[in-house]
Amino acid sequence: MRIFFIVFLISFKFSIAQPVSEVLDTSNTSIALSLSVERNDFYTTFTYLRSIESFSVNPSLGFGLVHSVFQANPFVRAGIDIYYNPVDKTILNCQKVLFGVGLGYYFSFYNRPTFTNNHELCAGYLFRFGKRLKFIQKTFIGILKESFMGNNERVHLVYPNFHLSMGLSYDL
Amino acid sequence: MIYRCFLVFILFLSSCQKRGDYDQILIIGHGGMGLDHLMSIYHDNTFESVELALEFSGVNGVEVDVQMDLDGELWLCHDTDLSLSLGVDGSIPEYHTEFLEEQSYETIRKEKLCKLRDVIHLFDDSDQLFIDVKSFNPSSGIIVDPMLFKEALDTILMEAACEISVILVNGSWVSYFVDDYQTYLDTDSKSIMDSYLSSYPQLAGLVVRYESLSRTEIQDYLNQNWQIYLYEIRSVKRIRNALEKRPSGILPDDIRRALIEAR
Repeated sequence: MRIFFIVFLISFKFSIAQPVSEVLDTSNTSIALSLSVERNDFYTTFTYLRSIESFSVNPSLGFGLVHSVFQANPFVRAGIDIYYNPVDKTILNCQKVLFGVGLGYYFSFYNRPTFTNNHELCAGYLFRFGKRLKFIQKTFIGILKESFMGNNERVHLVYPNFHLSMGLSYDL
Repeated sequence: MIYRCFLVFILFLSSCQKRGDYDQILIIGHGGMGLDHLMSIYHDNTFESVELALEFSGVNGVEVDVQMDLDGELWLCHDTDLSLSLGVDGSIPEYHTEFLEEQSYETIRKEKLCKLRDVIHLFDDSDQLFIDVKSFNPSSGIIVDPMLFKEALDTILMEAACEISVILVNGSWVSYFVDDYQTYLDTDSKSIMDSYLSSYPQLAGLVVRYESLSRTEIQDYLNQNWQIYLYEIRSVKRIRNALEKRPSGILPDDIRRALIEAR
């Protein structure tokens, strides 16, 4: 399975695009809105995507619900992703396909049942497809450090986490 | 326009649900941070799980499942078949202490199988410790001697600072514990509950599944000065419904969600 994936990536990098008649979208700045799920939470994120050659830097600000939708227990999160984009191709009808692998750091906090903050370091991919309006899908896995003031001492918990996101981006 | 704004404001106010007052209902961590909870950080009935549960402000205590090995040592373990979570054939009553000391759960963190004596010092005088006594092992068919179990328990709990309660599934064991410990019976049958509560007025009460008793039945028992604790509470909906039944306490499998609802 991994072999197929690697072959796909390599072949994509060296494939030759068909000539297109329409003006290509050359914007390197986008904004995105996505819905995500992670180990404990559901959240929505506003992201600013800035591409510099094969790299992109994406700071984000999010708002979510901790543990359960039904309890409507909110939290705020902020983060930044940095990607290397090995795939940045224009295919039929001027549609772009972008595939980046990268790292992300996130910080979030919430107040109930006790004031808790999270620091998180992740790695994963971001896939974008479309014209000016693009579908985006992000999958990240990483390590989350959760800390809160316990009855006797400050508690620090470190455990694996995942993020699955889907949304839309718009080229400015 | 003003009328519409006023109408929206009234609708907004009416949609706000008043939070119930659940401060009197005790929250007892089921097996520590919870039993069979997919997102739980630690395996149930481990040192780490009990320690973490007691760190949460608003948690009143922890329930642990206790089994006795061949040498009379008491271990925290819910499973009667160790192959399910530890990858070892057999059950706790079939093994010696030396062997069990080397065993760990098959989880990411590899939490070690924990002795009851190792968690006792985690509880202070404001905490409650509920000991669910596993007297019969269906996978091995071994029935533990109640006298030996109680002797082992007495020895370990001699120096405990916290309030201790014993939960018994096996009604025939009640007579061994009821005079020395706060003893609770765990059964789903209403007729068995009534029978034991009338035979043993010293019983502290019942620890029953969430669905076993209605709110009215719980209030009837509470009015007769028996304590009622509910368990098998996993979802938010169940936590809310369990709190609405107004028992003495709940044993939720997700402490954080229970605290958000109850505190």
